[in-house]
Amino acid sequence: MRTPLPSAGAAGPRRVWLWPSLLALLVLLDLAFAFWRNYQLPLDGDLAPTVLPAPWYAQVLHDPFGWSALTRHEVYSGPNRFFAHAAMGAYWKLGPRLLQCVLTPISSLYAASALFTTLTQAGLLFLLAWLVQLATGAARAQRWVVAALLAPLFQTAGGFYEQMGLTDRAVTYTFFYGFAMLLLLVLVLPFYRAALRGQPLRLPAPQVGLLLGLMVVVSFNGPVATAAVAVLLVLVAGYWAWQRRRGLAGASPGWLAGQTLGLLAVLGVLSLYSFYIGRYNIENSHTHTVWQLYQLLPGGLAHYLLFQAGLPVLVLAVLLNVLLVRRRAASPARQRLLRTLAWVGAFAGLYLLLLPLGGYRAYRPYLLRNDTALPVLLGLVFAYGYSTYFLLGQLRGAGRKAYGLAVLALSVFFWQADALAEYAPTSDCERWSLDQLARSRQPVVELAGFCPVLTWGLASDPQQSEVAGQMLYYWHVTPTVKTYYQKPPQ
Amino acid sequence: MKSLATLLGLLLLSACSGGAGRPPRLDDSVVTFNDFESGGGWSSDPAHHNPGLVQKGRAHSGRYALRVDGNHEYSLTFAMPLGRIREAKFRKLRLEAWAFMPSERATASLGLQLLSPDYSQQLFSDDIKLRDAVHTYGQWVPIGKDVTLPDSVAPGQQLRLFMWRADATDEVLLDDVMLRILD
Repeated sequence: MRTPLPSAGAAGPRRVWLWPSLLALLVLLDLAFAFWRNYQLPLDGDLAPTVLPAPWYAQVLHDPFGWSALTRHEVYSGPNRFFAHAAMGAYWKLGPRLLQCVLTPISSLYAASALFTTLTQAGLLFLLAWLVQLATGAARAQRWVVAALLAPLFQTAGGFYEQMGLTDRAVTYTFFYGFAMLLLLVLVLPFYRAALRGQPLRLPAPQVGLLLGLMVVVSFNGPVATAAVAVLLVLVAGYWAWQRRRGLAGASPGWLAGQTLGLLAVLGVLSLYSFYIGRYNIENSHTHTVWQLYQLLPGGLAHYLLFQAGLPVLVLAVLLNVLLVRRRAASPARQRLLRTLAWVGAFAGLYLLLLPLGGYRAYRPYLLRNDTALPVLLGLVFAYGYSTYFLLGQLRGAGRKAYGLAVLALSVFFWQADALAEYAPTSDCERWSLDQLARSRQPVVELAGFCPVLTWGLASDPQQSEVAGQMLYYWHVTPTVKTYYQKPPQ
Repeated sequence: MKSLATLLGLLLLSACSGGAGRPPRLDDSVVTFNDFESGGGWSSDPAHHNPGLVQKGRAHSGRYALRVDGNHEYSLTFAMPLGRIREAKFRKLRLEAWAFMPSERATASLGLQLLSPDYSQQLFSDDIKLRDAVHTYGQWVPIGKDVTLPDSVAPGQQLRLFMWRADATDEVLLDDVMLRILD
């Protein structure tokens, strides 16, 4: 039994499209607001070194598949992140220059950053809405309804961003985390459809080729998608083993057979290889043992879950939805939903359990942050969308009205939090400093120390701005290559 | 009709009550507003503090006003780097104040300077010459001017706002000074 909202099937064509059209408008307005917010954000300190690239990021671009790490055990930056580096370099070398047809060079940088981040947000939103629509079997137009349910959960720069931001304030992190997960969702989609149909994939050769290509990209696109793939494959393998036991007892092989199994096996091998060469990442040089990292996990998890109100509210909403779903009459759709939510829970649990194996970064002392928790967050957002849409379609009368109001209140709660910009950093100071740099006739310019300029901290020495200076020249911000330094403000 | 007349009367009264003594609305565009009421006697360097820079007793609002005279060539000065005033670049400013000139012999100017970050160079200056702006003596008179900073303004450059007595020996007072960003 599929569960589209009643109004979708019961009314005439005009009414069928009314709500989705209105909600589509709302979603597009939300994305426009997100673009505006992203446009205000400063540029991050990894942008210029990744795009130029700086010498320490050059090797990965010459060795896409970490051959030197495999054969000569060389240690360097991001051996399993070739496609993230390459995509970011290509986008940032082309994007700002194209935008300069209509924008000033300085504005083009912020517009390019906002455009990518907002498109990533839109991609994640629509893919999640698509997955929910597929699971419920609703009409295609209902994707807009689901998207409207999910849109408030995207905390762009303010509100609960630090806890549950699905895109990042730093565009480099959006490339390496949000965009990597977007590609993974695209990769997962055909397998998910096969699982829903209960039949193995039967794709023609060109599509298999595309899927294999995407697997290669996802596997060499940074750690978060590879980690998510590993957890997914462990769960799928467990399910496959359980299914085989059932198969021996006479059940059908289901979707995990034939082409599906072959493709997942390739993905597994690629992920294992990616994990192996990822061990040669120079940024892994921390002194914590795995046991110490596991000791950090409970406190980190508690801190992450409780330091802002957004995530506890979302988790409670999903748990409440589960309780309400369990009170509905038994049906195949209800069973499928509860089973799917159980898998999402298992995925989140296993991912968090394995997280300490991913190493330690000084800037991430609690292990968990919105970026490392991204696969879990996406699972949670999907679970919320799926269960909420199901309940909106199932409830009737006063119950439906009350539930609809509760959903509206939750949406307003997240929307108003994100709309509060007071804690979000702005680019005003950086833009003004770039304006000064562009106008200066000196090759080495002293900039005020009120804010970092394309660096994570103040550039106390001109050498620290050499890479940024070269990129600013490439982007036509400065007429010649310049460096700059800053003194801390008094 | 009667009630309409009463309403109009009340509106007129409320409009009149918002006169000279009421502080202006301090929104984000205001760089500084000073009626010198809170500053009287305060100093970051008490050993060298000159209490005569603020006159007590004859002010446009409250009790304190800024002063220059034969013994005080420069008034207290507002000084701040542009980047501390506002993070985003700005160029157009509106300078407003109330001035008290005792006679036509008095002269002074309300000056605005832009200095290099290390104070070594004056990059820009503009002023309101009180002799040109004030033609009524012995009374508080509003003065104002729009100032456009050069396009090359940078966050580290230092903005200064002060009164200078020029060649006068008579006391000149200034009160309710406001500097506002227009654009």
